[in-house]
Amino acid sequence: MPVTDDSVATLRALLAGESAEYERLYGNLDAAARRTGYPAMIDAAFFEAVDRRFGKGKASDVVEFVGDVRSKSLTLEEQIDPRIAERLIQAVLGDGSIDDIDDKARFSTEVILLAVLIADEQLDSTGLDEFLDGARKLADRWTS
Amino acid sequence: MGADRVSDGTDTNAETVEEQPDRRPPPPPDKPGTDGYPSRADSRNGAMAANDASSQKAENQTEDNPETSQRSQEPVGERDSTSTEQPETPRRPESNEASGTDGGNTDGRRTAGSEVGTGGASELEQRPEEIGDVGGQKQALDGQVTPQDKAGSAEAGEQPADKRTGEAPSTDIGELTLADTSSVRHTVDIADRTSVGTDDPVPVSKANETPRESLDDHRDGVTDEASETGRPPVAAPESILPAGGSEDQQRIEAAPRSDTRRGEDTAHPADVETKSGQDEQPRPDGPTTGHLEEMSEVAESSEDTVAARSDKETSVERPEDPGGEVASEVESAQQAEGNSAQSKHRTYEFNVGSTPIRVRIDPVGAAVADKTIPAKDTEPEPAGDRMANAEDGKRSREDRFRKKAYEISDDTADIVGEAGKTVHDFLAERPPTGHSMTRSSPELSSAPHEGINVGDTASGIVAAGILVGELGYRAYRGVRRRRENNNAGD
Repeated sequence: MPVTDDSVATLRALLAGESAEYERLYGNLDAAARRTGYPAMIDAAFFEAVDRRFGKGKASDVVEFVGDVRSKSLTLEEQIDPRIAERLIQAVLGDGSIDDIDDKARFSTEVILLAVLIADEQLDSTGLDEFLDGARKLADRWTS
Repeated sequence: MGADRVSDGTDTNAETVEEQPDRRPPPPPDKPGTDGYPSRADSRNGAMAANDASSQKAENQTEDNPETSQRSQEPVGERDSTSTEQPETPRRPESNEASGTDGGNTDGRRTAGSEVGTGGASELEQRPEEIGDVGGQKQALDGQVTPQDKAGSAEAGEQPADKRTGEAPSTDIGELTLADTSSVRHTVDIADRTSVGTDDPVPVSKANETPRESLDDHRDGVTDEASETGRPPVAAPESILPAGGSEDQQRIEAAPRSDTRRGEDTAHPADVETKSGQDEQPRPDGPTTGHLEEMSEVAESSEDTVAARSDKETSVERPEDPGGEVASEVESAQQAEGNSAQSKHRTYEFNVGSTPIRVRIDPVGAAVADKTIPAKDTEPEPAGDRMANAEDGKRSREDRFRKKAYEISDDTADIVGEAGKTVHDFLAERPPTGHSMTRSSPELSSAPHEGINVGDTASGIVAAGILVGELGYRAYRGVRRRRENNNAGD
């Protein structure tokens, strides 16, 4: 099933910090999009964001990044498992496997890390749209 | 060297004779003095007469070709190995009976090898009567190379030539190995490359050189007086042999020159027979070239077995055998010899299970190292600092990272939605980024205005009180001094 525009818009509202819009759009997603298209869009966007950030970096940067994210607030420290976060990033870089990570931990961690990565890039509206376009193509390839 | 070949009645070659199952029965024993048999004196006289005739021929031949006689005086080891170039040594008639019973040597073999070692002292026993009595049988037995045939060949008219040529190869080849194989090896086999025996003292390089000259000589059929190598000229067989020399005579002249080295190659007698055919018909250039090439291969390859070489030789020389019988006999003999040689050089490979013992014991040593030079230095980077190749392996990383099927449960979808709210909370806590302002002109700062301090005020009050008290005291003293002065003035 291809990724719908609603799924892309919902993710865009999330990454832009539009809380009310995000809750509205997410509430309007149909069940199929919430169970298939939106997770695929999150996965693809996370892959692209990590590849941008750590594609030419070192493995030590991953550990440092995860530590910085968890140190921002107590809520993030509680919700992010550092080992899962590091394994997800390393998996994007080609190291290790994440098959043993359940979907709840995987997608919840990816959503948080993705929001931090995009916030750190300080993308404007156009940059955010371009980023989401690339992620959508990747998600469409994965789900097709 | 050749003295051990003198027949002492025990006949050390008897084992070889017994190994030949198809061997014909030996001639009747020599019984001197018995009725119906010639006496010992008759035997000596007959042998002496036969040897005198042959010695006379040899002397005539030596006079005709003095260089070959000079070569015959050289030591055996230095003598070049060409059968046709060595003159026949005069033989001194001597009966084998003097050294023992002749019954053990009834197979017709003679100890011709001792002649070379003892400077030409012949140990031959020639009994014309016996030769005549035994007739075709002895001729068949000895017709190959044995010196005794010399007497028989002197009476060449007794046997037709076709019979000799037909039976000579059919005789047991094992006989020739007793004393005459070494000479054959030096004379013919070196040229034909067949003999690279384990005890062959001839260096391989020499063996490579010799046949070329020998073959050239044989092709020309004449003596090459101006040899480049400085070797004594090689006389063609026709030039050495008397005018009426037959094939048997050629064989007889080849046989006594043997050193007593016992050759391992029983195929050499066949070479002699083949060479006699070569002398009559020079070998074409094609096969000769092939011989030389094969010989060089044998010299280079130490792993070739004698059997393999014999097979090659047989395959090459077989077309030269007109009757085909020689080839079959030679082939069988060479096969037997090849089997013995193969058993001698046979290598065994022991396996432990299905792997060789070498691999089992020393797998590292048995393994063939990869000696290829890599195209570039492929030193791996440290795992912690390994850089991810984003462009090359991105597609593969995508395939590894993606889920097989994106189908999450409703509970998971709800958790993902809650994670979005957490993100918004995090983003709301973040301070506003704001913007920076810059002035176009420098800013003048005013002097700081500090308030009245209590302590400082108290200190000021105390200081002022002290000053006021001092001034009052001084004023009082001044007024009092003036009054006193006024009072004193009053």
